[in-house]
Amino acid sequence: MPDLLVLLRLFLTFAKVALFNFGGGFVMISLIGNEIIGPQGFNITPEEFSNIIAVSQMTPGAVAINTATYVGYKIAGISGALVATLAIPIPSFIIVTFVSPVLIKYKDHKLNKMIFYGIRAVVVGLIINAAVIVAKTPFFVNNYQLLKNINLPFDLSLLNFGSIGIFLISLFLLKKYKMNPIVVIFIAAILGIVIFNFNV
Amino acid sequence: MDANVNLLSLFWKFFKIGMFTFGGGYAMIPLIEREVVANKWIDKEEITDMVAISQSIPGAVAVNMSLFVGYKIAKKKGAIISVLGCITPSFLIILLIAMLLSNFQDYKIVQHAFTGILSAVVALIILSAIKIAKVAILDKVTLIITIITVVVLVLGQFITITHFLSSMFPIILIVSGALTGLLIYYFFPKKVREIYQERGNK
Repeated sequence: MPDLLVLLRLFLTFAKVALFNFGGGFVMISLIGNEIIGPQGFNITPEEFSNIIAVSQMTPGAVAINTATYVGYKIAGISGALVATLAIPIPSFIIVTFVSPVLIKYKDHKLNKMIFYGIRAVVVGLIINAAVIVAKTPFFVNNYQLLKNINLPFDLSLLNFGSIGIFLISLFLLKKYKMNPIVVIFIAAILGIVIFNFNV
Repeated sequence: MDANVNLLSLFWKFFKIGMFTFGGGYAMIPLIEREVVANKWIDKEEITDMVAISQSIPGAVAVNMSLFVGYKIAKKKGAIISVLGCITPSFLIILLIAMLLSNFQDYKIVQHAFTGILSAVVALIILSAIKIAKVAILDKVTLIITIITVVVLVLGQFITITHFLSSMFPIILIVSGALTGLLIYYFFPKKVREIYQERGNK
C-alpha cells in the first residue's frame, strides 16, 4: 500500500499541470518535466522522462494522460497511476460544468452566433496548423530519436517518401471510399511496418 | 435527449475515440464526427465551437473535447462517462507497457507502425479542416481570418520563439476571432443580416 502522502502529491502535481496548461502539446510536456524531474520532483531522471514522453506520444490518447499514468505507476504502482491519471481531467471537468450551461443557454442568441462566426474561421486555421505539426514527424523523420528534437530543421533531404505515400493512400481511402478513420489508422500502421522495414 | 442516451454506448464510443487518437487532440475531430455527429447527438457546427473552447480553457484538448461533447449529450453524467471512456484505453495501454515493455519505444516495429499512423493522421486532420471550412468560411472576412491564423501559427512553428509565447498564439487568435464577430455585430448590422441569409438562418 503506497504512502497516502505520495498519492496526494501525485494528484496535486498533475492537477496543477492540467490547470496551468494552455494550448496543449509541448508546453504540457515541459510543465510536467519541471514538476517531476529531480529530487524536488519525483526523482525521475531526464533520461527516464524523455523515454516516458516518447512512449506517451507513440501510444493513443492525450500525451498528458499517458504521461500521468506512466509516472504515477513508476512512483506508486497501480494506485499511483490511477490517482495521477484522474487528476488531469478534474480541473477541466469543473471548468466545463460552468462553461457548458452558458454556451447551451445562449446558443441561439445572435451575439453568440456572431462571436462564433469569427471563432470558427480561427478553428479552421488551428486545424490546418495541427496538420502541419503532426506532419513534421512522419514526413521528415524516420527515426524516433529525432522526435525529441522539437524544433526540427526544415531539411528536404530528410523527406520521408514512404510516409508521404501512406498519407496519400489514407487521403484516398478516406475521401473516395469514406472509410472509417479507425480502419484507415489500422491500414496505415500495417503499411508503416511493411514499408519501413524494407526502407531502413 | 438526456433520457434516450445510453451511457454504456457513450462510454464505448469514447473508448473507441480514445483508442484511436494519435498525434494530439485535433486528431479526435474526425473520430468524434464519425461516432457522435453521425448519430445526430450533436451537429457539426457545435463540434467546431467545442474545438475552440477546448483550446481556450486549461487542460489537454482531447480531454476537454470529451468533456464538452459528453456534457452536451447528457450533462455532468455524460461528461464524466465520455472522459472516462476516452482515457481508459490510454490508461490500460500505458499500464501494460510500464509493467511489461519498458523499452516499448525502442522496438523497430512500433516505430514503423507509429510513423505510418501519423501519416494517416495528417490526412484525417486535413479532411476535417476541409469539412469544418465548409461551415466556417462563409465570406471574405472569415477567409481572411483563416489565412491570418494559418500564417501566424505556421510561422510561429518555424521561427524559434519561447514555447510559452507560441503556446499563447491559439488563444490570442481565438479571442481576436471572437472580437471580429463582436465588432461586426455592433457596427455592421447589415453584414450580420447578410451572414444570416447566407446560412439559411441556421
